[in-house]
Amino acid sequence: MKRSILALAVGGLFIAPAAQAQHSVASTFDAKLGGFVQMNTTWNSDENDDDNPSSMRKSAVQPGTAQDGQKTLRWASTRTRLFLDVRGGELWGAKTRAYTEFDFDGLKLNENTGQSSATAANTPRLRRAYMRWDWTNTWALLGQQTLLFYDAVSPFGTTYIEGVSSGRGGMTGGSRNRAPAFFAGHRFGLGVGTLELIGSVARHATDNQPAAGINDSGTRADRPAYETMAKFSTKVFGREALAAVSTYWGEEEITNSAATAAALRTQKLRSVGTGLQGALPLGPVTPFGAFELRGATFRATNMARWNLGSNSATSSTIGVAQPVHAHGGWLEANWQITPKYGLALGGGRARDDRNDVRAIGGTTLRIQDNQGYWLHFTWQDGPWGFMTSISNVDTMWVTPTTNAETRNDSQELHFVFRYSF
Amino acid sequence: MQKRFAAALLLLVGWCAVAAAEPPRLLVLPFEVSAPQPQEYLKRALPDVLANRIGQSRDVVVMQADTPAEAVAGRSPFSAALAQELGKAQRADYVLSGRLTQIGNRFSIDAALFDVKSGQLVERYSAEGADASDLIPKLGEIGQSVRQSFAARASAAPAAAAPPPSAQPPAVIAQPAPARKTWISKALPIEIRGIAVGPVTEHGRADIVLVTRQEVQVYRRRGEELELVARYSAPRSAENVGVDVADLDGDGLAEIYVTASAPSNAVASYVVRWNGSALQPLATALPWHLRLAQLAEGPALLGQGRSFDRLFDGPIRRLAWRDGKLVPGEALRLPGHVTLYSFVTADVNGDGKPEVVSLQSRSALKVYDLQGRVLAYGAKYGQSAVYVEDKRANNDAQPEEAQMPGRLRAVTLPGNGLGFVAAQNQESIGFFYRARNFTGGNVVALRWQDEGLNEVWRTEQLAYIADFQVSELQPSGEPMLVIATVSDFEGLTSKPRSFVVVTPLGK
Repeated sequence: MKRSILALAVGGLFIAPAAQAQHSVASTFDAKLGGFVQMNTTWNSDENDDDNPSSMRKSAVQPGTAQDGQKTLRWASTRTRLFLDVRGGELWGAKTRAYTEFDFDGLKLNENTGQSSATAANTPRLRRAYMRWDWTNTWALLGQQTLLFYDAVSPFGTTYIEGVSSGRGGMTGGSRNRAPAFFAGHRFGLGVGTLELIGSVARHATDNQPAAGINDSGTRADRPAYETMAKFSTKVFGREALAAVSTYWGEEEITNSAATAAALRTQKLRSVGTGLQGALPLGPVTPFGAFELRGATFRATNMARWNLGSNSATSSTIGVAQPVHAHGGWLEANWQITPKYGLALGGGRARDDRNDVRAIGGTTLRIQDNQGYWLHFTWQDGPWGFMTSISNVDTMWVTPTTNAETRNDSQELHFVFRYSF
Repeated sequence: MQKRFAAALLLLVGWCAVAAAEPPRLLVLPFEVSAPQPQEYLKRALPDVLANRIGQSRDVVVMQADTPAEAVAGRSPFSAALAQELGKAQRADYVLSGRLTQIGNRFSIDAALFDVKSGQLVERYSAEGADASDLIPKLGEIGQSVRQSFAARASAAPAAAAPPPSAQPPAVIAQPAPARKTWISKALPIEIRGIAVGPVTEHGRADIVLVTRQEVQVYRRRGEELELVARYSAPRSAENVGVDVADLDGDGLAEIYVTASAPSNAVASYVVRWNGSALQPLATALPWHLRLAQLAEGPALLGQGRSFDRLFDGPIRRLAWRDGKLVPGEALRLPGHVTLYSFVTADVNGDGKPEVVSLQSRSALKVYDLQGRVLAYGAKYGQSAVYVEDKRANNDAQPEEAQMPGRLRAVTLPGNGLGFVAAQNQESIGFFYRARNFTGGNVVALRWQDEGLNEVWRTEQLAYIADFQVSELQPSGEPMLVIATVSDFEGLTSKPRSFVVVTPLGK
């Protein structure tokens, strides 16, 4: 009997579960909801009928129009932003991520008529939606993201106001410059710095379709846009210096709207751009903050839709249509006084080729030269953010048939209040 | 009959002696209250309750202080000088003073009994509770301990004038000063971001180094108090992110290595050391995140850079002093996704080959082999309130804010062999990208079991854990967890409050 009990006890030792550790439940996903609530209050010396108060105005108003001298104080919270950032486990050796971002600056009333909205229409707008894989030095992205052509350097205040240098030499993107695309990039460590080569195949929005809503993902081109960027970064004064060369190539085919196939005529029209962007630290970080120079310059044809120039093609008529050439650039000095406070002073200019503008013909005033400057101050403390800026834009129009010049300028004062969460 | 008479006489003499000897007078001072919300009424209410509990004894006369609570404000309740000063003023023989510390829902009551004549600390009492409902019962326990001490004194030496009460173990709490299991400092009016422990100001003696957003502060533990020994202000344009100490120059004193972020996506770390009277900079504007990491071959100071696009960029390199400069050396061979904060290289699973345990922001703990294959996932640890905001160079994209992952340490766990220690902070919502609302945290010990890293124990619930270290603070050499907790974060209108908690490593 004793033996049996002993055997049972010993057997019990073997079949008893091993000492239990408290198992951790592992989830490889992490999802965060973020964004900010933002209010823009903007004073204009002349009514701005081109864009909403959350953007820096691109051009002055024509003298003698109803908007000229019509001072306005406009308010908007439509750039309030929401995003969902999901990070998953490693897949094929890559970190994975899915990102979706909205604001409330979608379709506006009367958008296609060019009339300003009398009533707010704060519809949601999809800004970005992509999936991304990150290996150690290689990455890939699928989805809607800012066009690669732009995405290297932008003015300091761009995180608060969109399009700081739009129309004034900036390569800052904008609502039409976030497009569905495939991206791939690879970083090369060169010892003295890092070279990153990136390529992208994206929607080519074309310049000759009607001014469709910004949510439009369609295009008249039967080819995508091809973009490349070579980005080199290195340490200067212990800080990061960056230079990037980027290219854009897109092609569309315009037709003569013929009734029969025999009468159909076509012409290819290309949008081509080359950009150079850079950021250069001006000395090391000092007790008085850090100074930096940023800037970009471009040459482009038929790229007014991308804010590179003010006119796209001379005509939409087969055989007559020629792309308008444009060039421009901007430069900004910024002073990050402390991690909380920053100051930036910048200016830029964009010009269309005068002969191309005159080739458009007619008596409608065409912007040929647009320039401006801006001064920004930012204050950020934890979730709180504030920006104020004063800016001026100086616009020169040409009457194609007479070659007469018309000039005007407009001033703008921005107050931006933000709470990030 | 004679025996009975003798006994009665003895009893009578004894009674007369007791009756003749005046019981000692005990003064109970207003308590210091360290709590997230101001609770002024407790300063008076706590000694009232305590006095009631003690005052039911005939062995001691309890006096309430006629001193306003403000009179003791700003002075340590455990100061013998304060006890003597107030005790003499009210003709007390003994003074009982105390402090209530609240972290989250938990609280700790610490009290000290002083002899007014000698100015000596006679006895300490402490009690801890899970929430406010425990407060009164715990005060009752302390009151009972005090009463028992005086009763013991009265029965042992009824005719003595007023010798100190005996140290006879009371029912629950009284214990000699250095023997507490978990020690919680007085509230510090700072928001701690990092902690390090090492001999910074004196050979062979461990100092506690704390960094806030703008300052490095060196403390020394004296008895129950943290004494501020030195402080150093970071450059105005920088923000401290983390800290480590190490004696890399071999002079016996540890240098303080501070990682600091700077404007324009820069890292401007710096090194300071004690020059005999103050902290002085040894190197500044270093373009690396710094970390004293645990590698398979031992600890090493490592650095990693930062770029426009990435908070951690480039290889992780060893750093060493050469000709008075901190210079980068060889790059470590690590899995590609491992960043400087935080990883440990060790033979985790006992297969004779080193593995890499890595904590990354917003990611579960991972164990990699050296080829970069994920061997195991753990739970999420190292949630941190420290953001480094990366104002990207490009476009209007949301700044890439990154929360620094918390510290990860490899240790020998008492009774469990090789293990890993990390902090795990809890959030009330936990869904927002930036608006993090931490409700508390634990330090958790993990070890390799069943093909994964599993939890073997955790500390009691504390406030948000900013950082921790494992160090031999005790003279016994017992490894202790030295934890920096934050109960109130600095805000536009709120003042910060932090604590240092020292607790044994292990259950």
